[in-house]
Amino acid sequence: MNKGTKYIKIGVAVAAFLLCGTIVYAGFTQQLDIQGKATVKKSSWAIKFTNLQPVVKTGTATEVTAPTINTNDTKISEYDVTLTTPGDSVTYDFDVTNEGTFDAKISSITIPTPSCKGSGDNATADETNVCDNLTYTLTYADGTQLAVDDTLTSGETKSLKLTLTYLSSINAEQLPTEDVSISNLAISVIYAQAASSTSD
Amino acid sequence: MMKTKKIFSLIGILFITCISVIGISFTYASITSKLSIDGYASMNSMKWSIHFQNLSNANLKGKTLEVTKPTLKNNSTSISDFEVKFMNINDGVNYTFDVVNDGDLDAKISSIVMPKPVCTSTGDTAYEDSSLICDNLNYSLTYLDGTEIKIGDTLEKGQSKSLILKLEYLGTNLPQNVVEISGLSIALIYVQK
Repeated sequence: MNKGTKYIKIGVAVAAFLLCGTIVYAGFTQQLDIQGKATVKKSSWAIKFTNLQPVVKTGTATEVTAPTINTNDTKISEYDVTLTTPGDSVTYDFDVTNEGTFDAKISSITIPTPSCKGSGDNATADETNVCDNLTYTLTYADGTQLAVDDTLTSGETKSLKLTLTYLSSINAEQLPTEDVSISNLAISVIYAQAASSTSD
Repeated sequence: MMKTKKIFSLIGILFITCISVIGISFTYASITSKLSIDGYASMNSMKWSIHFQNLSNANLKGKTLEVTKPTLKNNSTSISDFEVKFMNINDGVNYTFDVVNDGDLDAKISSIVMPKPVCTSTGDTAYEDSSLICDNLNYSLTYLDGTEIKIGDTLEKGQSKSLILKLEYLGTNLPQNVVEISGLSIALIYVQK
């Protein structure tokens, strides 16, 4: 037996030992299995404007263009109104509806101060006199102010009221001598998922 | 070799972290809704103008003398400075004029202040003389047909109404001394209807 043959025999012997050891070891093991099934149900997020009502006018206010709700139901726009007499106002009633499966809450509200643009020699005074006597509000139907963290739970609808009023408590000197345009009426309300929200 | 592996591992971790952050951002964006409202408004120019016009000459009764004619002042919102002298019983004066709404807003009367005239005299019979005159003085402002002017009466834009101011002595006796009559200021306040 030469030296090379000896190595081969030792190699075979070790391989055989390992194989036997594995079989023995396998004989003392047990595989434990845990099986199950999980699904993610469908869910949706849909906060929408609905049920926009015709304008409610007081005094001599007129509506040039009625507002519309966009195709996503997330924007009311294009309304154009004219106020003429102190005490005039226009009001739009509509609903905000949570058609989704998550509860929501208001995370941000932006209601700007209207801007006035006059013309003619008395433009600056007209702008001040008009804008100082305007109120622009978005409230719930009962007059309660919208507030950050107000909730809108899944399936819930709340009625809102948008009002632009030219106050009646002005004197003759505060009447505009020329027409005044009023802009910066863009309001945004951002709804976010409520923290405790769960989906069935 | 090891250093290269560490660098690759670090890049891998950073990449996964970036993906996670983007994922969180997408998730957040997907569960908020921005509801917006926008529109446009305009305010028509307006004028408020209630004033007197067409002030007549004095219509004098009996021996009444007109010392000073009344004048329209303060953008025709005031009739003032008239002075008359009654010389005999049944003397009197009246003036007619219009109140006009030249503005763009309808108006109504919110207040009428019409004081009782005050009579003053001198001498031993001052009290009697003063009482005699003031007790028998008719001072009135009415519509031209005699209708009483009342709070709430309207004056629509573009409308005018004729008024008559009367001052008459209705007594049957004359005072011993001269009696001055003051306190004849009348105020009508119109407000937006």
